[in-house]
Amino acid sequence: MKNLSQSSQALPLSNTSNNSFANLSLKVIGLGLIGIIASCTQIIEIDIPAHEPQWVLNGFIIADENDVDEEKIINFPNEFLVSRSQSIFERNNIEPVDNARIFITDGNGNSIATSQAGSQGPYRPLANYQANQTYRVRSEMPNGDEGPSIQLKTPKKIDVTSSSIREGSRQSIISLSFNDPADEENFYFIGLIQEYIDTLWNGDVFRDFGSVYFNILHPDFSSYYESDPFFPNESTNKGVLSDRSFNGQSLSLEIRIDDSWWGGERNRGDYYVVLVSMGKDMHQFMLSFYENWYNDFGPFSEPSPFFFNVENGLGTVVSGTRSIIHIK
Amino acid sequence: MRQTLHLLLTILPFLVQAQRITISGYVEHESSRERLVGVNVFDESRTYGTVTNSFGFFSLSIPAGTHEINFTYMGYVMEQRSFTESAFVTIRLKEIDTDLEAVTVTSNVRIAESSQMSTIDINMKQVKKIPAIFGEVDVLRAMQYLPGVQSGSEASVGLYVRGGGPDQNLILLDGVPVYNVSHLFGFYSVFNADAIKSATLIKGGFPARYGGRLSSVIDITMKEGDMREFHGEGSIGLISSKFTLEGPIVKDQTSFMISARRTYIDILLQPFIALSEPGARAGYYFGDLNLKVNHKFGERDRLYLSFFNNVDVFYFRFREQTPNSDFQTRANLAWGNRTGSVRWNHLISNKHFVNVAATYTRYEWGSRVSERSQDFDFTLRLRSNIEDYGLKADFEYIHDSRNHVRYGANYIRHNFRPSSIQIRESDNEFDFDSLFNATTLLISDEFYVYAENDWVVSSLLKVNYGLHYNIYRFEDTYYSSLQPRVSGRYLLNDQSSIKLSYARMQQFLHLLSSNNGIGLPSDLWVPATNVIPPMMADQIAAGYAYSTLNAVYEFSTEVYYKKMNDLIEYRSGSAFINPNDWQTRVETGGEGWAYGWEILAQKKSGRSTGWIGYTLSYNNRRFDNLNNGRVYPYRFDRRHDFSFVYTYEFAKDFDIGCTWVYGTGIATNLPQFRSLILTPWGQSSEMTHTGDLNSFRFPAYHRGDVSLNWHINKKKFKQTWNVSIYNVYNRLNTFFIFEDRLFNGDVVFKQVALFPVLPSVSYRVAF
Repeated sequence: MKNLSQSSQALPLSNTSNNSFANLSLKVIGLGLIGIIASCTQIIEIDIPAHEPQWVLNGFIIADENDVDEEKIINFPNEFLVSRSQSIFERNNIEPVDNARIFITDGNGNSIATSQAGSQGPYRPLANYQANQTYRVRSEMPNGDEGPSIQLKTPKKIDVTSSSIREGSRQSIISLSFNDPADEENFYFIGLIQEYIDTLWNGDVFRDFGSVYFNILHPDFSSYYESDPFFPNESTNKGVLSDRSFNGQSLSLEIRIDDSWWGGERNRGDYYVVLVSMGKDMHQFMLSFYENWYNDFGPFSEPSPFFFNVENGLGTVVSGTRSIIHIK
Repeated sequence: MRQTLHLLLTILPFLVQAQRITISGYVEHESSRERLVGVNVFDESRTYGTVTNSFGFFSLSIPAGTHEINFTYMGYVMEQRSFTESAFVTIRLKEIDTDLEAVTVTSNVRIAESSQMSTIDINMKQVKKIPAIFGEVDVLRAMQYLPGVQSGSEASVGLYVRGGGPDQNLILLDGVPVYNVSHLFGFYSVFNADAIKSATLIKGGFPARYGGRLSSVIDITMKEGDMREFHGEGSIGLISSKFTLEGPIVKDQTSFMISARRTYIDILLQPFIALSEPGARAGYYFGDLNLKVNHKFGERDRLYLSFFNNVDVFYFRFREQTPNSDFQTRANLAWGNRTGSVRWNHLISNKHFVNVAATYTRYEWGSRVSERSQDFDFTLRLRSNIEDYGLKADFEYIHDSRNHVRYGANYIRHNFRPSSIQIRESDNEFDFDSLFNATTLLISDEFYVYAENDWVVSSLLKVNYGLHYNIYRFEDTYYSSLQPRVSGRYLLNDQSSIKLSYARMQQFLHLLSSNNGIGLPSDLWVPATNVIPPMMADQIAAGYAYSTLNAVYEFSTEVYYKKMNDLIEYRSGSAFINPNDWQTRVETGGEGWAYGWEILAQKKSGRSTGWIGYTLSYNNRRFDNLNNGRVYPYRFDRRHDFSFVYTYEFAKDFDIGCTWVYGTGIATNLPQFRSLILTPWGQSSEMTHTGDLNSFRFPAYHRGDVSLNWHINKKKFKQTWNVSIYNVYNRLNTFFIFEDRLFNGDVVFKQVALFPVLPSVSYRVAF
């Protein structure tokens, strides 16, 4: 018993000793690892060529096929933004340039619109763009310099042949058919919005539009977001459909909406499918935008150059033809 | 097939045959009876000669008369036999003992005489003397020291051969492709050097019998096992141990070889983890197993069974028990290859040899996470794999000393399962395959036939020419191509020659991987489809080779130009992708250009051996939708690549090895300027831009390693103590660069290096 008693008394001491040893060892190992990593990190000189600041013009030229309320335009507003680039080593934030001028002419050189922005705001030329038309955008900078410019063409009209909805208790399915032009590779931006109706405290009715998450089970459809490996068929509220496998043919799509994603606090109204036929430049812009938007520029990131297409400067002006289909 | 052969044989300008005799047979190791590959067989005048094939077989047809035939092989005593009539013989060569200083040391086939170019046989004995990280010898790492072969990231075993990516290497282990050759994210290869008998690297001028990859063939053969005596060897290093055992099952008839390796860092750290976090176990290990059995049915038939398995495992386990609850969680990530083959050699006649093989290979990675308590049970499983079943037959017909014909066929069924996800929760099971239409099994078929001839046109000119024709099917999509191959040498004199080669290669498999060179287990192999066509490459090379008559010194230099078409590049840069939409997330139709100049000077035998290699290379890519359609440098475009390898046996019991490498820094992207952009939802946002793809370079890479081997021979046991120092002068080579902002707001770039100076010691014993 004496021995046992001694043993039982000695055990905690031994454990404490082992714990201390283990903790000390872990600290030593940890410090060693930190030391190795720290010793292997150093500031280095990299010869980055000096960046000469340039005028930057960004914007959208979207031909709307049907009259749409402004509140339904969640993406691609017909706007322009003017700024000036700066080197990575500059510390200041970049401010928009608000006293430049934007000139838009058609393919024959006739003036369509001229716009001058207010303070800090985007430029909103009052132009009514048409599908399958050529436009030229020119900018004039505050100091009188000729700014970036570009000529581009809006894609052809989207020929939507049918649309319908089947509403279920947990899932609704929108069926949509349209014809794809055969003469070129087309890309379609697909978004889904829904009207929400709230009654305010004073009894007034407030209407709003918001994005809805959906799935499209088509091999050529992909979300702009980084895929989640655990949920490969994740929903999206915007994506791109390439016509690689149905070029020149009619396509019928099923857009699946999981209604259980939203709570029932607000009354929901009709759905609207936003279908934008994108020019090649617009597709390039969208790809490079999302690649860079979700890029943390960390050590293992693989950024690709941002897609610029204007002349005489930097920036991206792209064109599309939009159809907003009211699903009743 | 017979018609093809007949056509080949009749259209060639064969000389009128005088009466001839045929000497054929096998060449073996004298004591182990293991067959020797690449033994040079030639008559004294060097007018007639051949080389043993990959199963040790040779056949030499020569004019009737008395001939002294020499059998020479690097590291073995030369054997000379006299023949006056046709004979079938088994030649046994004795390995040179270091004590036998008086014995003539001769080489296998001299580089200047071979019609094959861009091919290097790896000397495994020399590989074991080269310094290695933690003393772990690696055959792929040794290949990185050769010209035309570049490594990826620091300490990675990934091979970039003449501008191609790691997916463009056909890596064969006993004739079976191995899809992922990396342990521990590429720090080690899966090939245990103790189990390897020979390794050959082909960078260009591919013979018609090879196909399916664009850039290289790495043909690795496992040891066969000693037919007469038991041998074993084992080693203990800082992170791993291994053992190899070989011997007869039935003496002179059946032998085996088994070799296994495992790391044990997880076992050593387990007590510390358990004490710091009671109930927890976590760790990482890798291991591999090589097994081979070969059986002789007689002089004309032999059967080989090969098996290989490797695995890398990360694991975490935690359990917390109280009187009222029992909660446990488990997670693991595992990946590995499994290959197997059955090969049957049969000698149809003294001139006609056939090898028939059934092959199997599988690469799989998977992850499992589970949590369990009394009232909750959750399991998530992820799995991805590629699995091939193959059948092939390779024939060799040695018509005469001027024509060595090879022909054959190969069929492979590829089964791809890019993703399988399963979630089990409580008693309910949800199968995401059925619910969400996750990718299930994708099947493709690949079939090829080939015929080639090693033709001695004259005493000066020798040509290897052939055709490789393949057909590929994926669902309703078929691809086929006829790939001409030709290489030849023209002897300038007894010691030097000029060489020329052309090869067209096609590849039906694509690897979707991160572009940063880290061999992640989640990299996915996917098939060519109707949307993603197979890749194609044309390579032309020209060179000059010189070797001394005893083949101790060799010098070769080559220039090459390779054009690649239909390359793909994963767009967003993540290796962890959604396999369902991979076809819309890759850029197709890419072009690649790789060209360069290589120099290799070697000393192949003696107390001091080694080589100097240098490569000047250019490697560019272009995709319509990448880098705005402009040509950009491939990430592993290295302008200069220099390597120096030297081993010296300065005493009977001591040898040293040292290496030094230098390479232009790899290409990378760095932030260059910022601008405002207009987001798709109409807001202005500041964005950082990198400029053109891969427009910056890491600082130049250079590193020196040294090692010392101390051999102690006591009775039957040969012991070796190895001390290695990796990165001996502590060069901090860039692993990655990141942007950082100092406290005063200044932007700076910092680099992180992976390995400082790393000493290690290991112990090896052999009996």
